[in-house]
Amino acid sequence: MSILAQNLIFGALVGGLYGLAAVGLSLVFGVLKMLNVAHGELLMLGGYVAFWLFTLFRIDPFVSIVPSALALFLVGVVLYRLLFARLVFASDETKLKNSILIGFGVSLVLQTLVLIAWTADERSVTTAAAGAVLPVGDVVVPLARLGALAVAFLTLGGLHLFLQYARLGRAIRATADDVEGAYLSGVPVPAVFLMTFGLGSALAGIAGALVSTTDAVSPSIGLSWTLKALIVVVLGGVGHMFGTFVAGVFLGVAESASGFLLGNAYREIMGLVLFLLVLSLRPQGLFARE
Amino acid sequence: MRPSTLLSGVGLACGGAAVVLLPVLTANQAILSWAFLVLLYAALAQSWNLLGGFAGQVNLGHAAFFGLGVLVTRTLWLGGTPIAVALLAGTGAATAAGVIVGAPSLRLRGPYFAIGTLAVAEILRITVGNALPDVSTLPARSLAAYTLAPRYYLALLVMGLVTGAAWWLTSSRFGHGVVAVREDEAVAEAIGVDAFRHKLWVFALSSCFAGMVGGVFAYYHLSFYPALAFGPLWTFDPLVIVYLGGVGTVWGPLIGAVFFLVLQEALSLQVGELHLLVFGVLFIVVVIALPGGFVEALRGLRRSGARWLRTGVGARSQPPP
Amino acid sequence: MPGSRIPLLEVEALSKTFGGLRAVDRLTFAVGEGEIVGLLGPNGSGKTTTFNLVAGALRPDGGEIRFAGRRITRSAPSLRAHLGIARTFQLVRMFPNLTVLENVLVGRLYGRDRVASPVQARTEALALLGLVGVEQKHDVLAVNLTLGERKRLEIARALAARPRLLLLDEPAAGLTPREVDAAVALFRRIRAQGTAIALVEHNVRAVRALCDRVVVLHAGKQIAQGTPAEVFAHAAVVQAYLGRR
Repeated sequence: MSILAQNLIFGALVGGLYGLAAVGLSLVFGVLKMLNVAHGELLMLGGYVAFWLFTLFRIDPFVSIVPSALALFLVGVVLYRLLFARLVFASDETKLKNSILIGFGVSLVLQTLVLIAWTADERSVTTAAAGAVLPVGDVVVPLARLGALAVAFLTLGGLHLFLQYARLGRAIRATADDVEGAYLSGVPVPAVFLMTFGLGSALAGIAGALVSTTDAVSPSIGLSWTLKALIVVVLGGVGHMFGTFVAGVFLGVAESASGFLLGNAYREIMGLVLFLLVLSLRPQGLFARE
Repeated sequence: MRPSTLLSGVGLACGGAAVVLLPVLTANQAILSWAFLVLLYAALAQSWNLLGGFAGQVNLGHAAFFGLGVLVTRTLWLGGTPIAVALLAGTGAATAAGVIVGAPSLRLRGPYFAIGTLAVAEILRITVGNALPDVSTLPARSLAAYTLAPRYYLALLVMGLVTGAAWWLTSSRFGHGVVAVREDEAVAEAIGVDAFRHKLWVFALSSCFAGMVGGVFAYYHLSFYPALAFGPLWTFDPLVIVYLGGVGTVWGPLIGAVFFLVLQEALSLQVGELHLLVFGVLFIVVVIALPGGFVEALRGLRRSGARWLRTGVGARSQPPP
Repeated sequence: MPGSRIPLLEVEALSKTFGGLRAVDRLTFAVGEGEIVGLLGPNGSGKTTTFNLVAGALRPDGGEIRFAGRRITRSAPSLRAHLGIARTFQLVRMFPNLTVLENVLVGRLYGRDRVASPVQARTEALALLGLVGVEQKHDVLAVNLTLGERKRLEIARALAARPRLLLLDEPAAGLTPREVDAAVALFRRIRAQGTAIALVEHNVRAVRALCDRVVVLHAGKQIAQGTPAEVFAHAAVVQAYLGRR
């Protein structure tokens, strides 16, 4: 029984990261109506930023969150200006379809660039505190994972406050609600689009840095993170930070449970099956607005 | 008949004869193998194009149907079934999977069709990787009898069939309905096109051919890991080829496949890493800057060429656009 | 209901609610064979929703729709097209990347008594383009047409499905007075061939010139019905609802 409990705790801890990974994706989707399927690759880049800062300068990944977010913000801004901005004036359907296609291309390019630059090796960060655990009854809670969960939660909370009260945050929400209305009431929509894409990428950077504290980083992890983020978005809904976080934890727990029941090789499949199940019950997604 | 039509007719006939006689004309295995790959990729790309280009449904899980064709054909064939029967079984399995996956996924709106199909392919890839971890290699007796020519002709046949299907979509009632659904589903419904049925049929057709191409691959390849046949590259490469050549056109996939393999050969990109980089960048450029691909570019060239001829050589004024 | 006419379309107690808002509220009306009926009312009174319910783009929450005696309340739009209901859209919609001719051709290949051969459909589609006056543009991509041409293309596409009932959603909106006159003449010709027409329209001149009967909606309910003359003479309260936007 305690093995199951241990599994579930692991799942819940990982799930916080799923939630964080999803928020950036859903932010961009909600505001720009574009789906950046290279989101997982941005997260992977964030992981590498943390890895190199640790390897070269012994900077703790929890500190690297800041440079990683900044670096990915820049990457996002460049990607947007270079590629995605060209879709802004297309019809909704074309915008969505072409953003998926472009994101698909970007994910392959980023993956390959990283592969060429830093090889396919799995990289991981082993800090002094890496092995520390907190025993709770029969089970143990790894401190690094607990820390990652806490940071993910705080980031989401901060994002919520930002969107709620900051000037730019309010402009972002207004644009998400009604682009034309936002234009008419003087919101600088093109700048909001740019900032939103950058912000979404920065969130992927934070998530990536956190991932590096507990899991290996390699060029090929992107696709599976994109899929996880998408699953969480479909489960939790767009624009609800708390819902996204809960959905992330739920996915983590569901994966752990199925890993425990079916064998670890199949834990990824559970999330995908869950995803298809939700989609077939609600084809427009759980978060569609009427 | 205009001379230009006659000329292109003769050219087409010569080209066709060369393609058909290639195994007789050359004994060079490298050339034959390259030509085989052109046909294989062209056929796979065209099978994606049926659904993605003509019906406008971006399927990011095409690899699943290719992989099923590979797996079923290979298993039966190595088990002693004649290749023709094994190939048909592989095609059938992929088609059935197409209907099973298509029926729920085609009801999905917005991005969920693309993502849902991607999820299906990933589920299959992971499952196959877990269930069949061992490499699939031709046994010694098959290796001794192995020749390229029959593989080549099989690929040529499949390429012909799937191109025929694409041509049929441009000329039949059904094809007009399919294109109407791509352009605007609500309008198509309003004039009597049952959008869902049309999409489902094309999905079945697309996965049928993907499975058939997979069967040819199973017959051709000496040894590979089963999970590899379900890898995302079998979705990505056809997509790149289709968009390079011209999405939603009959000849785009073939033109794209020739270009794809020429470039791959020229840069000797078989290693994989640079391959993705070069084609990833090319793909993005085409999606953004040349939505019609090479076919559209050629049409544009021909139009401006004709205009140039009409205005007369040396005409000073710029013809109006 | 004028007794001489057989009702082609019968709408009975039709209701549709959007998140608490009753867009169409127990609406009952009919369109006779070969009749032209106008749906009038201020914006948001439920006219376009009614159209979408009749065409099948939306499913009603209550009530019934019959077409030529057959219940079609929940049938698919494509089936309704086969039975003989064709429509245009408030914001003109076409197949943007197909040529003008192809746009109409598809309608001829599907729809009511459809033809099987694209070659024959092509000839008939060209004739329809001639009827609405855009035949010289048949080879142009639809996306490159002007608004007036798009509206005419839409009508040709709808006619290609050989409708018994044509639903026109604001066919005169955005047209110049000359174009409105041409459109009115075109609709008369269509009706003369036996096709009934139901239209949503704000252009009072067009409504007066065309409609045999007018149904006035307010907040999803019918508040008046009669000939255009009767309805426009109706108390000032009705006049208020005929806002010209």
